[in-house]
Amino acid sequence: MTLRTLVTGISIATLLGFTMPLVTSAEPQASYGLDDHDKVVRKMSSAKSLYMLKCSGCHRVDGKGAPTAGIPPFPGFIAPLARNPDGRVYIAHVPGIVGSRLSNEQLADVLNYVIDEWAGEDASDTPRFTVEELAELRQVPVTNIVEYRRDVVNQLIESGDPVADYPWP
Amino acid sequence: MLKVIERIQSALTGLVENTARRSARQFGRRSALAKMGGVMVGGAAFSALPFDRAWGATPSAGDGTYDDKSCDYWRYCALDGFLCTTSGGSKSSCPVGAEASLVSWVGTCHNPGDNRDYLISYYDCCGKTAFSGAQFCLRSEGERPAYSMGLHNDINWCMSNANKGYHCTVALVVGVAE
Repeated sequence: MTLRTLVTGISIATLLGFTMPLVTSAEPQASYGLDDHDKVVRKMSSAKSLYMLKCSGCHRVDGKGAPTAGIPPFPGFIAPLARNPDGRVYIAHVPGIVGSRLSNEQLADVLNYVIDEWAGEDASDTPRFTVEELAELRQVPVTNIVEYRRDVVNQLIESGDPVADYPWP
Repeated sequence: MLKVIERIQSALTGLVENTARRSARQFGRRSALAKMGGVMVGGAAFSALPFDRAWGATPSAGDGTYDDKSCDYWRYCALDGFLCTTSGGSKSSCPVGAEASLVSWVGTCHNPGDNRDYLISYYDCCGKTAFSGAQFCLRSEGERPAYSMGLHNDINWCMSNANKGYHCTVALVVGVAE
């Protein structure tokens, strides 16, 4: 038996040792754990609460973001972005959306909340997201979000729309 | 000029990607697995030692649910860091000389007092060296591992500020999880 085989064997034994108790002990946990947290989030339906939980950490409560840290502000910029078809694809692929683990229903509500709150006087001309549209947008393959954003920004500049400052060109 | 910069960027992206792919081919998953195996054996031996894994966290024998200097305080359920209540601040304000981070981590905590779930925003206090006597807590309930970046809290939220030094963390109630 080579050293490597021995090490691998012990690793597998260790892995089993760690995972088996997790598999076999089905007793309910007294503490408030991950499952409970997931249940709370799954049941949440208030767009404002969902925004607070999943977006406000970076985009901040007032939607002004932290431009120097790479989080663009919503006021003045979200309406033109949401009126551009590729901008809508971009919105459906920002890290906060992709990594949120919210349902499409919850995500559509949150995005519409952002438009309601920060599109300002352009709000009435800005199309809202439906669950069906969002599901389709999320299927569009976007492999490089920064590169994709660059294309959208160029389109907005060409159409004379305002573009938020962004540290990654 | 912009076109040139774009071309350079795209070339750089390609270069990094190619290098990553090449190294992935050269140093296969198997060698990584073998190394991880070694680490796991070490880890197993380490966790068997009489070792304070709570990093000095308050033992949970006493009920700290309503003690804001204890890691068990209900609002701290998703906190990872030093308590500002033990660093000269309070549970909702930074100590003198430290400023709140621009960005923060938000989680939900269950308050057994009224049986409701609240949204808690954990702001880091920045621009001051951490106090060595401060209570360290690591609960981070509801977070996910680093490969799920958007749901990961092992991050210095002071990175968004001009002063990036981490001091301690406060826990603000920002709403009800409804």
